[in-house]
Amino acid sequence: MDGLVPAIHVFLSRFPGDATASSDLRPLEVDPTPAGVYPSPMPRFYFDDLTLGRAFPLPPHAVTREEIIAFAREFDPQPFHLGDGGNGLSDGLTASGWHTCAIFMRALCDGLLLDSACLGSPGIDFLRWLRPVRPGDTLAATATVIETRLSKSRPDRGIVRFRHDVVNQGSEPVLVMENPILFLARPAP
Amino acid sequence: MSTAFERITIGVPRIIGAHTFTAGEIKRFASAWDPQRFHMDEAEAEASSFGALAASGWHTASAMMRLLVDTFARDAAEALARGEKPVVHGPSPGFEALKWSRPVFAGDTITYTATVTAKRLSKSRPGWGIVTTDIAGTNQKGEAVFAMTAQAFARTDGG
Repeated sequence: MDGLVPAIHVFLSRFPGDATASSDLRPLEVDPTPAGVYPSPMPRFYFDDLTLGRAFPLPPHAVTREEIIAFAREFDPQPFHLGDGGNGLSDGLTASGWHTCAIFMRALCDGLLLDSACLGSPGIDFLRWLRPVRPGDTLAATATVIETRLSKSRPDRGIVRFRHDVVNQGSEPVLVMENPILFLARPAP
Repeated sequence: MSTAFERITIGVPRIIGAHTFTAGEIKRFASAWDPQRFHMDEAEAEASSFGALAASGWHTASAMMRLLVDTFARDAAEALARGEKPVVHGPSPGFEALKWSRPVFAGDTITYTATVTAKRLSKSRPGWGIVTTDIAGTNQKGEAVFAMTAQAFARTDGG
């Protein structure tokens, strides 16, 4: 694939609960860290670690019919996301594109962000829904660093632009996007 | 008589609805799809760059989609009441320039506006057109919090 560099990184999965569990351990006195500094004790990935070309394979997700319908009932109740009638361009039940985004985001959290000094994201440069997602599909994503830029005005942080690719169990692309994410730089020792 | 696709109006902003993001709802969405601490816990959020519990950007976008779908349904009912065929909406190939320009905090009410900026016939799919829509979300102080430029298929021969 264009622009993708093979991953040299050994992926270490983490449970999503790990990142929030630290809140129980925080001291009660006022935290002296300035606003904007991520409070996590020693996240694994800072801006400095997210180097150009580094690729993060994210944990896969199996999509169920029940999950497709539940997401659609709340956020995208179009008939082709609730039942088997199709939409004139695809047959049968298909997931809301926003559901596919949500599945991707959870994978990005579990595979990278929850163990990082992430400060949030200003947006998505572009996103393409390339193929329908159906019940029984298993989605797997890779987040690849395509640009990094340390902030000139605030050198304690930088923007990392990713290309995110989501494929189904047949390795067919279902979603691609480019997305800048803000991370703290690794604090000086 | 014009078709439903031909009647889609370009350049006129429409309010598609407003949504209030409660703390409970923000945490429920985040626990399923985006469990970063600033979307999950008030104290952690206060210590973060957000400064207060903030909705996942995907939650802000998904809430917009619900209002858009509800608007499509109202439009369809009104078209039928006028004796016209409604627009038949299809899937979306994607979007550009999505901006989460400010956090959406617990208690914020976001009003979303949709403006169709272009429509054209699909080259690859006969009977379908592609509608381009700018969507904007504004909080109760009038500050922009969300924007995107979306494409979506709509039938051109449906009525």
